[in-house]
Amino acid sequence: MVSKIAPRLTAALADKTVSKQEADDIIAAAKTEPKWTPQLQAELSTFVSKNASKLDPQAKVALESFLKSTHPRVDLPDPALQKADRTDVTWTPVAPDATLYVDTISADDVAQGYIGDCYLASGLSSLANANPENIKKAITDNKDGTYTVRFFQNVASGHPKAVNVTVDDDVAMGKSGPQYASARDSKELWPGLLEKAYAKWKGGYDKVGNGGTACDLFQAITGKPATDETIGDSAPDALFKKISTAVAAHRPVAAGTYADDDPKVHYTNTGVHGDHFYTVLGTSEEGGQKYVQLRNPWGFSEPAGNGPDDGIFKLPLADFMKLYENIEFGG
Amino acid sequence: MSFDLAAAIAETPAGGVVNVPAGTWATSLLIDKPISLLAHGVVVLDGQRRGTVLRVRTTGVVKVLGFSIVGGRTNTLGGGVLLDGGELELTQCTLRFNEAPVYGGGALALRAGTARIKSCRFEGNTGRQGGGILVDHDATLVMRDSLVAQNAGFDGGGLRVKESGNAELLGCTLADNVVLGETPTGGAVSLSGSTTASPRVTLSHCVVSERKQGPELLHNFAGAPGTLTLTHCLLPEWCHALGGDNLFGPAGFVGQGNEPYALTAQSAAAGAGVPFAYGPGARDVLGRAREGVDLGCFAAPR
Repeated sequence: MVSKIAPRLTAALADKTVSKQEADDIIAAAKTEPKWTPQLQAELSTFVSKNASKLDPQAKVALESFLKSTHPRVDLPDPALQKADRTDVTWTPVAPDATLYVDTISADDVAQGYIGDCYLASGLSSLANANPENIKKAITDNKDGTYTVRFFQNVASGHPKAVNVTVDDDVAMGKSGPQYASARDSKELWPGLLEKAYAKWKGGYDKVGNGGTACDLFQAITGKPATDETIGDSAPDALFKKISTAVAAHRPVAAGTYADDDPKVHYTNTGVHGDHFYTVLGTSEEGGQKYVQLRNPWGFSEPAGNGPDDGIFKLPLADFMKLYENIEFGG
Repeated sequence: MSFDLAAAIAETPAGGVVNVPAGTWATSLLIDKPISLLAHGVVVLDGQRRGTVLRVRTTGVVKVLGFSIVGGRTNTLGGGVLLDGGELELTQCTLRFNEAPVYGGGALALRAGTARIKSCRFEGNTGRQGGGILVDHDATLVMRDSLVAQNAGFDGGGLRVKESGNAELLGCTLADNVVLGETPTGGAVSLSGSTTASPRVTLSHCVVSERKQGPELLHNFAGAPGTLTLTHCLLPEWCHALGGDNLFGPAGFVGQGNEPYALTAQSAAAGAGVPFAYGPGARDVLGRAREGVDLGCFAAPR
């Protein structure tokens, strides 16, 4: 189907120059397009760049200004946000001067939103902790307000297949701030973009917000097989060595807890939450005692005595094995 | 009683058989070689809410016959049983009161491989995705003559199939499974793929019944749909728009006693199937010969 701006572009070039009035006509036609797509953005961008010498200076300013102000909308359909109790949510750019990364990519960047995807938020944090290059390689800034995230299709039955998912940088804002995953620095985009693209790939936030495994995310980002283990299957020293080796090899690691009403595990006053996933940051040995370093993907809430409440803490290995049910390793 | 199931499995070579004596055994086991587990008498494997009861991860065939698998609970996949590779044959087993509340497959989750289920019962399990069963990635479920009843989830009360999962059900009964939560979908069956994957679900000669209508008995997510095929099934009257060669109306369950989902002689499901649909020597979930071609897992009285 021919776009509404196409005939305007042709007409404007008929006399080899594009006046301010003709530019205004093009912009007016663009605004009546039913949806401003990446294709239309590319069509107009190409017109401006290819015919730069034919544009009246005022026409050039008007068209470039229009292009700059217009981001293709590729928002994610999200039935959950249609609910009555979420009517105060609006999709909006997270911050006017937001960028993909602020300083370096770190495990501490990620803050989980208000959906049940702790496996995803902790997994993102694990990937950042293991090898930030995997995240950088996965995200492409399209320089038009959109970003393309490269995932790998499940590799369980063969060679990984690249899947590209494009999203814009709008986030769902409610009275309490971002509703989905975000960065602790409000000007940093990558955690929210990765979650948004993953959700778009899988059918929506509803589909990723009903649980999942960090293994699937690890495979999707690295393209390498991931494994999970029941912690009770391992001897303490073997488990400690396995975690230490994986982290040293820059492999992402996450661990999940038992039920918060488990009759044999009492989470009360431990600072650890049941039915939750945590990033495994590493291991340490102090005074002959082995510890596992962890991070709550909320970015807060941790056992007492671990410094500022940033969600980062360490547990003696024995406590870790008592409180955590399973552990997932990326490739 | 002294019997160490874990040790017995560890000592059994590939291709061997583990004979499990009657009793209740608290367990959370990994089976990583092709062996058979045979129950002698009433054998209950109880997870005691400490992880998945049986995890199967191998390249061969694991056979599990005659067990009750109860009390499993995990924060990931498969409260009762998780298949993570290879082939699992589950025959005449009852999976009851298992939980996977954070992800899914309260009784059974398939992450990889093929599960062949025969004459089993999935009752009263809960899982966030798939109260009874979750089929994930490119795993395959082939199930016949089995009952999936009174399970609960947020997405797929009885059965949830996602990604490139494949489920083929023949002569099964799905009844009184429920969905809960903010956006409940798929009381009996829910399927959805992604932008790059599409699941397949086929129900043939099944009885699908719910105590009350909706929120959607059979949910095929429009945003990333799979292929849902229903043939020669008995479905509630309010599903009649599904059409095809299916029947629509009350299930005609007995509704009381030990087997409330058994059929009455007057049920529309009695004798409503296609001749030879079950093949020679077919038996129902109770082990009775299928003398007629009745829909669902129970042979109707004659």
